[in-house]
Amino acid sequence: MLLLALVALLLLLVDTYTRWLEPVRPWLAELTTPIYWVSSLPKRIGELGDETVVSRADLEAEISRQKTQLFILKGRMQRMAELAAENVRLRNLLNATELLQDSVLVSELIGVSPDPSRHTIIVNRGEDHDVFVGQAVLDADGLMGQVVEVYHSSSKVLLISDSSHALPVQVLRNGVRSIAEGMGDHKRLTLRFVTPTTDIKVGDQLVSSGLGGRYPLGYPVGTVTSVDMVSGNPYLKVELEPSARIDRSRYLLLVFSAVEQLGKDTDAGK
Amino acid sequence: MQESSLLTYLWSGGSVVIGLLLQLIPLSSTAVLWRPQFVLLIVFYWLFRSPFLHGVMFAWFSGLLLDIFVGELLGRHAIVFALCAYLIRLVQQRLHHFGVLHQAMLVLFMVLVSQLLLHSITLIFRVGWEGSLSIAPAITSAIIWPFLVFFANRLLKTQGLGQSISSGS
Repeated sequence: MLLLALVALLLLLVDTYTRWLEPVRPWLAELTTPIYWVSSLPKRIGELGDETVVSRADLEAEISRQKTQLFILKGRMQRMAELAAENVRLRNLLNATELLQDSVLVSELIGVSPDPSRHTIIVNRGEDHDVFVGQAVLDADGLMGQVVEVYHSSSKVLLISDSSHALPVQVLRNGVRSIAEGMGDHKRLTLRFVTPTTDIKVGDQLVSSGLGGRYPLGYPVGTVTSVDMVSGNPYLKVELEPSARIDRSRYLLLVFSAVEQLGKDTDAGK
Repeated sequence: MQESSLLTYLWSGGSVVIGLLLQLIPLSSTAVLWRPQFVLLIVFYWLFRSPFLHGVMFAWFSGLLLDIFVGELLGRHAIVFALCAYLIRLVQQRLHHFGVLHQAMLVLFMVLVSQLLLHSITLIFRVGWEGSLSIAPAITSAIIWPFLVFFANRLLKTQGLGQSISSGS
């Protein structure tokens, strides 16, 4: 008993304070991937049932809804093209650098951390697909998190709602900068150190500010849901609701930031 | 005798893997707080059922397996499960007289102890961590214990594995 406890304690110490176990991690992850896959089967089968057994009326309604949406989006796209062209012209006039387009890689969620106090997920892309540590991860609606560990064909993503996570943001309306921190709750984030005179109000959209160098600029992070002055506290208590559907999204996008790609290309050119 | 103990080990190993699967199935963010400690329950079942074959070592390896899959601090569940198994060992003689509800009470207490220990270890080793301790897993674990005992006894009886543990009250 004592011996086993000592071994476990030693393992804990080694894991926390040294990097000796790092080479072991990727192949442990290889080992765990099949079990994770099996454990997600019930959910997959449920989804398969939802996908294959749909009534005709539902399908028709879905198609007509999507058609309308496509119509609206196409209309907006026309404006977008014009705006993008205008933006490029204006930037040229200002002699500013061109805004670069980020490219993305679609990935699927294959595992969720079983520890409720830790918000990490596992996605099915890894070293083989050029995923790197620190890469930003999005879903269809907003920023989800960042890659923290990369294995051969999967990687671990730390979500923005984890209590150890913080990211630099700015208010879309006026560019006020702040830092959004996770609280260990999928539906809430908090802003730290917002002074009472800051121009921020309920309903404000927050986007990533690109400062800090981890996340690319301009992806939606959340919407302000409450701004409270707590007596005795010098800062405002601001809470956001994340834009991304952090506990629900299955398909995620890994962002290859245009700036990083440019850096890689020039490195390769040398 | 040799063969039957090997068979028992196969069953216990297999059941730990099933417990692992149950522990890893993705659930919604509220349901996850109420998830019973399946792996620990299965370890307890084997400790109660065949204490000569399953002891602290079995619990330790099950915990380590769980650690590998959870992918956080290695050795965290191993040390806690081993400690729980040791505590169970201390009351081993009395276990024979426990009915299933009595066992469930013991399980409630032991899962609570394991939560407490896991929490403390995380507090020590993960700097700046602020989580809250929940008694929900202990309650759900105690609730499913009688069902687990009933079904496991039934299943293993059909497989011709010896003595089962008390499932009466």
